[in-house]
Amino acid sequence: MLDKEVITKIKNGEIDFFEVLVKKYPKVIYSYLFSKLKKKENCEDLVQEIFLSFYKSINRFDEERPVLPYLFEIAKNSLKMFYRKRKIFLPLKEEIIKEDDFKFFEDIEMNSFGNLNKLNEKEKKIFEILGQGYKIKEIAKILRIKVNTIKSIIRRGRLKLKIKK
Amino acid sequence: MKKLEKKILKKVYFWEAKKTVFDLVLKMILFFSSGLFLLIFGQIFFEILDEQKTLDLLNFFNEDFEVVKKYFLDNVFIFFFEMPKFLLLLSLLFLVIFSLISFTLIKNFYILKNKVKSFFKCIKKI
Repeated sequence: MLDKEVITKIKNGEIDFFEVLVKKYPKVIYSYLFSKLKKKENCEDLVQEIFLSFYKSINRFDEERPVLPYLFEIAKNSLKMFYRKRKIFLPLKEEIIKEDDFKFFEDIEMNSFGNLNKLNEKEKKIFEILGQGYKIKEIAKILRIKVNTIKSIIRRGRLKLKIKK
Repeated sequence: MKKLEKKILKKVYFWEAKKTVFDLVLKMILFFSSGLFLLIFGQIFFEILDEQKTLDLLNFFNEDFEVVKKYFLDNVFIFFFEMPKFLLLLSLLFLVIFSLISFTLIKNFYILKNKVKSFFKCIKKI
C-alpha cells in the first residue's frame, strides 16, 4: 500500500493504518539517531516522540509529499531539542557578579575621570548611572532606551576606556 | 525493533484516544448545555412576547395587501421596540453555538465512527 493511501485513510479516521508507517520507517530513523546519540534508550525515546509528533501533524500533512524526508525533518528538530534540554546551565553566583562589577568600577577609577572625557554625553550619562549601582534594565527604563542599545553603548564605552570585561 | 514499534503504536493510540474522548465530551457538554439554554431563553422570550400580546401584531398579515403595505414598517418598528432584546441576543448566541457544534458533529461523524472501529481493532492487537 502506498504512503499516500495510508495517510488518506488515517485522515479519514482509520488510525489503525498508522501501523503500516510504523512498520516501515522506524529502522531508518533509529539508525540515524543512533549515529548521532550512540545511546539505545535515548534513541528509542526520540523515535517514539518523532512518530507521535508526526501523527499529531498528520491532518496538516500533504499526502502528495513523501513521508521519509518529513520524518527526518522532525528527527532533526527533535535532536536539537534533545541537545538543548541536555545543555548544562551553570547558575552564576551573585558574589561573582558583584566582584566583577566592583572590578569594573575600580578600573574606571583607575583610568581616572580624565579618561571619561573620551566618552560622549550619552555614554558618560550611562556610565554615571551604572556607577550609582543601577542595573542595565533599570537604566533602560530611566533613559527610555532599549536594553540592547544600552549594552552596545556600554561595550563601546569600555573599548574607548580600554577596560577589559 | 518490534518492541519499539509496539511502544510507538501504544503511545500514538493512547494520545489519540485521550484527545478523541476529551473532544467528544467537550462537544457533548457544549451541545447539550447550549441546547438547554437555547430552549430556556427561547421559551422565556416567547412567553414575554405572548404576555405583552406582541405576537398579535402578526395577525395584521391577514389584512388586505394594501393595509399590510401601508402599516408594515410601523408594525415592524413596534415589534422590534417591544421585544426583549437582551434575551433575543442570548438566544441567538446559543443558537449559533448549538448549530456550529451540531454541524461539526455531523461533519465528523464518519471520521469518529472509523476511529472507534480502529480503537477496537488496536485494543485487540495490543
